[in-house]
Amino acid sequence: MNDHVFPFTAIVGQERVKTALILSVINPRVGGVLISGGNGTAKSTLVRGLADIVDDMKIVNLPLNITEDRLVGGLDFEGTINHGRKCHEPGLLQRAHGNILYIDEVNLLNPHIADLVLDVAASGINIVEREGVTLCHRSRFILIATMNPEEGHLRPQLLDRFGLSVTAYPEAEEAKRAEIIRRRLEFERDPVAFRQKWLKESRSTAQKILRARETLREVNTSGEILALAAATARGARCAGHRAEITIIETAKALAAFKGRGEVTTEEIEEAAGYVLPHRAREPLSGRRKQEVENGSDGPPENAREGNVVHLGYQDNLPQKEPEQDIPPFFPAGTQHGKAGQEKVEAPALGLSLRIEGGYPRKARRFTSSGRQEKSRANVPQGRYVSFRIPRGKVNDLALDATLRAAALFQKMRRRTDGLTIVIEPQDIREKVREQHTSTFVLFVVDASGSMGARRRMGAVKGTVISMLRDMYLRRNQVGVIAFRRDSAIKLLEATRSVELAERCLKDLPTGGRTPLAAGLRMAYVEMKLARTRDPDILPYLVLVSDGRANVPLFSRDSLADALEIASRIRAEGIRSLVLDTEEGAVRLGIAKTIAEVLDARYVRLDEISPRKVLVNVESLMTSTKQSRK
Amino acid sequence: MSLSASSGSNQYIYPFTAIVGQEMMKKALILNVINPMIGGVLIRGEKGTAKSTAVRSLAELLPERDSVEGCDFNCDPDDPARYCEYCLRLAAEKPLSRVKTKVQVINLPLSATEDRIAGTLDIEHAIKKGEKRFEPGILAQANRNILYVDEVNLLDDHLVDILLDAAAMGINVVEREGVSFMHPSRFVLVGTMNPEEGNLRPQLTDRFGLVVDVTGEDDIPSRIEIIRRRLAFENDPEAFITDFAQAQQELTARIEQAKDLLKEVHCADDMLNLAARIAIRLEVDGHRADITMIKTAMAHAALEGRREVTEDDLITAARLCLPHRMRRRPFDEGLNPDEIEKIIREVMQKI
Ligand SMILES: [Zn+2]
Repeated sequence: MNDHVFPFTAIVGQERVKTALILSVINPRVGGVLISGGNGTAKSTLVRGLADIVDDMKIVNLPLNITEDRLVGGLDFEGTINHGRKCHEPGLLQRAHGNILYIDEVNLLNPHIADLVLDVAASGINIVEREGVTLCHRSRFILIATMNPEEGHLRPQLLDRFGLSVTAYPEAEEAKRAEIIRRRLEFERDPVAFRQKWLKESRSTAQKILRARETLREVNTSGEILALAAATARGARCAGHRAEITIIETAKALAAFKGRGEVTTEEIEEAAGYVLPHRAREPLSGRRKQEVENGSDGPPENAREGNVVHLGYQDNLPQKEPEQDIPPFFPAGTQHGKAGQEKVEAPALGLSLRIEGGYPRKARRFTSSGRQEKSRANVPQGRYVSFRIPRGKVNDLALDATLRAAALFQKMRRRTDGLTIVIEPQDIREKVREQHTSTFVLFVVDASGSMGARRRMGAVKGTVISMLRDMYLRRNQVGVIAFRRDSAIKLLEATRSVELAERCLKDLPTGGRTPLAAGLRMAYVEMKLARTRDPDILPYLVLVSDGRANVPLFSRDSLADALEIASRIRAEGIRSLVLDTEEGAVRLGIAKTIAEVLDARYVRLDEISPRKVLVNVESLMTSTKQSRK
Repeated sequence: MSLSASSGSNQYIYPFTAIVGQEMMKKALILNVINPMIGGVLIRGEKGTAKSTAVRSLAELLPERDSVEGCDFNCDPDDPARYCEYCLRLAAEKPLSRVKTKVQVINLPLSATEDRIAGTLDIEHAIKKGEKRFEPGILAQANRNILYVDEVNLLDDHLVDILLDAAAMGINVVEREGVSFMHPSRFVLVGTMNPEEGNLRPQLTDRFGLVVDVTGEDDIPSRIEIIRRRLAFENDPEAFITDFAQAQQELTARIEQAKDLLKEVHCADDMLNLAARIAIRLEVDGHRADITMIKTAMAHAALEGRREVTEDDLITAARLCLPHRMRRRPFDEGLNPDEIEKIIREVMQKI
């Protein structure tokens, strides 16, 4: 189906992405490319276009629907039955050998499948030991993947597997944008003619790549250059030696592509721009990890800590400040800014409140009547990724695996009823499905005028962002609701994307009255909805407010309305945390009352500024009574 | 005869031309038929606003086209580059036989499982014959048809992923349960949603070429007319359909002409630049907005019987393409089509 591939060379702009892709095919030791970018930035068009400029490699597509057997390979039941002996069937990893393995939306890939791919990517060998098949073959491939950070982040282990990382940005220039439209129209009108038109250019790039590959081995790297690479990697605080080796391999590929016989400072610098962005970040230190695991309060943390965990995914372009790489969620000076008394406070990072874990392992779920709900185990949910020998009654048969198990014995079994295959109980296999049960943490943030006093909103934003980051590391879903003036709004749908959440929060204006009940009602609806969509989800509410409700919802009493909804949330068995933002000499303590009605863990914002409070959700059940004293 | 339904539970399909009001929705659907590359329509609105009726009626209106006879994937005999594996093999031996087929509306129910959508191992065939065979799923049926997802915002995340995977390339790649298969899957995606029940993932929103908001008709005469027609249809569907036969035929002919004319529609550089400028001014995400805007404007020009894209075509297109593609600020209502038009007119003034 190559006839419908948009030619690589006809893609306007995206020079960095193009270069990264070309380098990865010139020198497989570079270790593949991760392309991130928003919607409609030609990410996958670029990858598919590679087919035009690389002649000796296929692009093997790893679809999100893949199951384990098709990935690693295994027994071929058809051949086994027909020939009466074990036949192997190669999986995708075998097909990928010597080729390009392409994963679109890699951040959405099932973790189990991702781990299998990673193992092989690291070792270069696929060892299959399953279903009576022993198989071992080489599987060296160039791993290329795309992702949209707005859809969720990539696990650090996966991130590290990619040699290079680049971001695809939309073109900002009018003439270039117009050219993009023009070429796309021309292509769609007559793909064959369009491809013909660009053939010469494609061929010349393909030739250049071939030549670079041939000369790669002869590219010199002096001792000074090696030292520079090492210093560069160390400067970015990269662990291990992989970063500097990748910088050197990338620089060699760059030199070869430029037709140079020697790596210079220039290539090292350029290479670092591709190699370091996704590595130049500090993982959780051992000490912090331990604190989290022990569930104990740690010593006061470095005030800048919130900034160190660098999760925003950007290219580390030397000439730009990383912050500027993220387009503002709300561009200044456009159509907005109608209301008078509002301000947008920047988040004060550095405050840190962590929520740990989620619900206990065997979480009980309650119906609105308070009774524990039965598990929905008889309704198969989630992605089928693998299979197992069933324990007990089978209600989710893995037919393909069962057939493979039965295939080996068909010679010995008598065939009856005109069936070709006789399946016996010991053959039965059941499906293992992706467990996507996660906690859905919904933040309900007060953005009313009273929150704006004394830069309180900055502290609130900082705290919420730090919690969001923590939630992300634990693969939870987050959502944000804000309320002010007369209504509540959804800032962010349930998502795993922290970047999006941060952007929403940063631009959240403060001002107006306090429709607390409306905020809580929206949270209530949202959580019920989340459960409809995924009955196994564990909703968790975080209310950030001073509780000074002054907009009623259905009665005349704004606080009574808020409490009424709070009690309904509690009746749903939804757990919650109230972060009280009230400060000053005169305190009304309303947020605390709300916390009591919610049966929530209660924390005061001014308590977390001076020292770190570790909130362990798993201990909430036992600690709520204490905190109420 | 051709106006009666070929299948489905309802024997009769309410004529498209008999739908009262909802002009933007009707226009959006028609433009997608004229150019299926526009990328579908997302219809937002409360329940009971005739959304699914409109989609089904539209399919009924469309003329038949050529398909490869007996192909599960509804391959286009004139597009060998997109043949499925079977057609490829068959075509190497002898010319493929053709058959006329109608455009179908393929439903993707929220309860659908992953294997039903992507397709999977044919269980019966495996047990009876001991052979692996691919059993086509919904994405196979959807090829060259309309894929309709009611309440698309409630669709499970991992099903959305599969849908997006196929939509991105127009090809469904299946690597599951012992089968490895690839087939074309290019469809006009039509989704409906009630925004009160939650939004769509940004990625899925962006996949929809056009978005229309539908509301119930407000004015009394329209409401009366809706009821009157509905009653007439239920009372005597055949007579009702006959009453609208002429209008239906005219619209069918107009769509056919527009499809032919589209090949000749020209879009001047000024218009391309204007589209780019609008996209920059409104700070849309990515490039899909500009491209879709122009494609839609061209389809609109063709529908109006013109060979040249005008500013009015572009404005109509922008109203349909842009509202869902702009980033929103918290507590900001976003822009409605009228506000978008106002800004575009300002942009035009500055030239
Ligand atoms: Zn076919």
